[in-house]
Amino acid sequence: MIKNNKKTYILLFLILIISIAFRFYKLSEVPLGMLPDAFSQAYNAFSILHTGKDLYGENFPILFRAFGSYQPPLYTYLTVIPIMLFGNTIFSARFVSAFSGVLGVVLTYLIISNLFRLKKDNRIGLLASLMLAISPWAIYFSHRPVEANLALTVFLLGYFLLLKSLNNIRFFPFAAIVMGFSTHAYYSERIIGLLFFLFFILWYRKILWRSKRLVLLGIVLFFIIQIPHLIILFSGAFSRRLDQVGYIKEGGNVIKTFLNQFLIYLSPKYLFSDAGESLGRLIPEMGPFFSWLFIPFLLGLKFLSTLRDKSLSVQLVFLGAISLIPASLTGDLFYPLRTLEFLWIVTIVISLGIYYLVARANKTVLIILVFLTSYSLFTFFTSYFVLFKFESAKYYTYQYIKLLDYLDKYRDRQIVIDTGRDTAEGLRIAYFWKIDPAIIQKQMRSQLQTSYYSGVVNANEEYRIGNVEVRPIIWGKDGCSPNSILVGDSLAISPEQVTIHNLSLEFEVQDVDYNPALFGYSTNPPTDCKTRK
Amino acid sequence: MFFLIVLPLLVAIINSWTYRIYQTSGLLVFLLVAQTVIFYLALIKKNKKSLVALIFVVFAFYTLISIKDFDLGIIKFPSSTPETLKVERRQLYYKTELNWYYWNRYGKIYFDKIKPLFDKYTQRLYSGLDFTWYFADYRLILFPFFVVGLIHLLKSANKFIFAILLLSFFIQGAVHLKEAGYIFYYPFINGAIALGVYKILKNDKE
Repeated sequence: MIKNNKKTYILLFLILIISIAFRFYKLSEVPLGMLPDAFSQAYNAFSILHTGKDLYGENFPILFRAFGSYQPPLYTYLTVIPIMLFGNTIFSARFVSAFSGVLGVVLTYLIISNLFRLKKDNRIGLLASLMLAISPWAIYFSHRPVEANLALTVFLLGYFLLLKSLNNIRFFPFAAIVMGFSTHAYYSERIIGLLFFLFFILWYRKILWRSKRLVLLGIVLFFIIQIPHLIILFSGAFSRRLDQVGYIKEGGNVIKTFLNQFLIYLSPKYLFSDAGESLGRLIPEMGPFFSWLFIPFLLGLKFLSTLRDKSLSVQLVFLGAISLIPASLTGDLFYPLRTLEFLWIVTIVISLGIYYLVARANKTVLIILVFLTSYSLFTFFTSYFVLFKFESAKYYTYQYIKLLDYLDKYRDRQIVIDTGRDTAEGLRIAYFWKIDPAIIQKQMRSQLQTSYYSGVVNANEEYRIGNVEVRPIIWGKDGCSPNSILVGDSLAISPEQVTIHNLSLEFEVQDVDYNPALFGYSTNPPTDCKTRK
Repeated sequence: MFFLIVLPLLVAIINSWTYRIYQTSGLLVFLLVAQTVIFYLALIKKNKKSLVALIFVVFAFYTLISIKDFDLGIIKFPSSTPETLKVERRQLYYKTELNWYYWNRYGKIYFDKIKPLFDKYTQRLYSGLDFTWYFADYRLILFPFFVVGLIHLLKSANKFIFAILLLSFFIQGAVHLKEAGYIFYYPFINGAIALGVYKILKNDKE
């Protein structure tokens, strides 16, 4: 490692402040709302905290069932801590991701300083950590409760410990444990963590094999930590997410599709500009990286290609290549969430390009760099904290969270919330109202149509929380139930149904554009309602 | 002779893109293929001044031919009803969140006119940098050679070659896409492929 002087520590501290500022600023408000699987994580964490079981009553699951996506467990287990400290809030649900983002910045400095120690220049590590601190993709994913962001940090910690083990082999078993746990943090790391761990041992075998016992211990520990995966390997749950988003089962030319997907992730179009209105879109009018960073990226590639120590570039290239394998096995056009290690590599290459410029630059170039960075941060601020906040609100089901304020006023009435377009309202209510997990566990367990770990998952789950039922509206029954409130969007409760069933508008929930998104109607059934139907 | 002239010509000939450009203009395809050869030679001959100068000359010629395709209306904003609606919708968001940053003469001009135009041009700039456009189907086999060529290009190209690459990048952003595609990238994509083949066949570790 390079000897750090006081100036380095001050600069690193400033970078840390910047990363904390971007990741925690308006953490509860942007995005406005949370996706259903995030509520699943949050409520599962709440349930684990109080009962040691998830919302289905499963003891300390290996994977969390969660609408059939079988979420890797590490994020949920760690979310127990912020929920314990801050309560059932959106902030608590996102805290682990935001904190992981900050930790990732520190680890980046440590890793890059270690890798480039022969250059004896602290600026390389500082620039790498600064680039990560301000990269749009890194901030975006730190603001969402995503397992992938935690997985990246765990992977980086494992990588750092592996590098440390080259000078002090006693770090190796700890590195192996951390790498092993990264495979429980997100789906992609099951491939990336394993392949990189094996690659590192092979690449540095001459150094590591001097202490065979500790290395073998590390390898054994790594594979022991994989045992939970092996237990459920053939249950259908382990591969269910790949079945949902992959294309292998569809047949066709799998190799051609894989290579095509691989190329998409390498394309500057998707890395440095807005990918357009698609599933993988991050921030309006912005790509994962600021557009002008394409030039430092090319310079960074030039810098890497001229390095005498080829081992460095081989490591980064190998990691970049394997980190695209999981995403390339899925059919979505450019889905950055599955490629965070790759985006990290691109960030490092960009920082090397900036280092290349800074080392050779005169005052004018430095002023231009500072101006471009400042302008980029300003545009990021407006794109993310303004445009993204509002334009993504519907996608993040903001209106369903706002609905909760209205439900509070009707505690004495029977309420039915339709689940046609959203299946998570039951979990939202359970989370924010801190419903006893035992109640939810009993309801959910009784609705399981298959074993907990299964490739087949029942689609619609119904909740009964006090006076609120969350399920599809049954018109023959609910339309005839007096003094009830039926809640749904305009597709669930159409104008024709309002007329036929003599409903009265009780309230409207507006979206961020002040358009009515959800409606609450009172029922006024005639006395012969059941016979008339 | 093979590695100097025949190789880059071969790369151009086997690329179906060449024939799409030919449908547009025979002169254009001649200039672009010539530029491919010159660009490739310049990199092999370690940025020989005469070749670099020739790159600029040929570049000027096919830029002049393409001038009729320069459509600045493409980067006019707003140029359609959806774009107008987008600006109006976003005005509401800026008003809510930015307060005085937006609510002044310069703020409104920047957010309603300058920034959308800049964003549109940026998106157009990068629209041509999608590798699947150049390496789809059988052309996928050329991608590894392109990568090797690109690495050697980055290592060995001088600032003038970088300048022409950047110039091509920015001009392509203002040129209307037709059947011929992103023609300003043609010489560099094919040149990099040829360079990659050369480096691998010659087992040149430099």
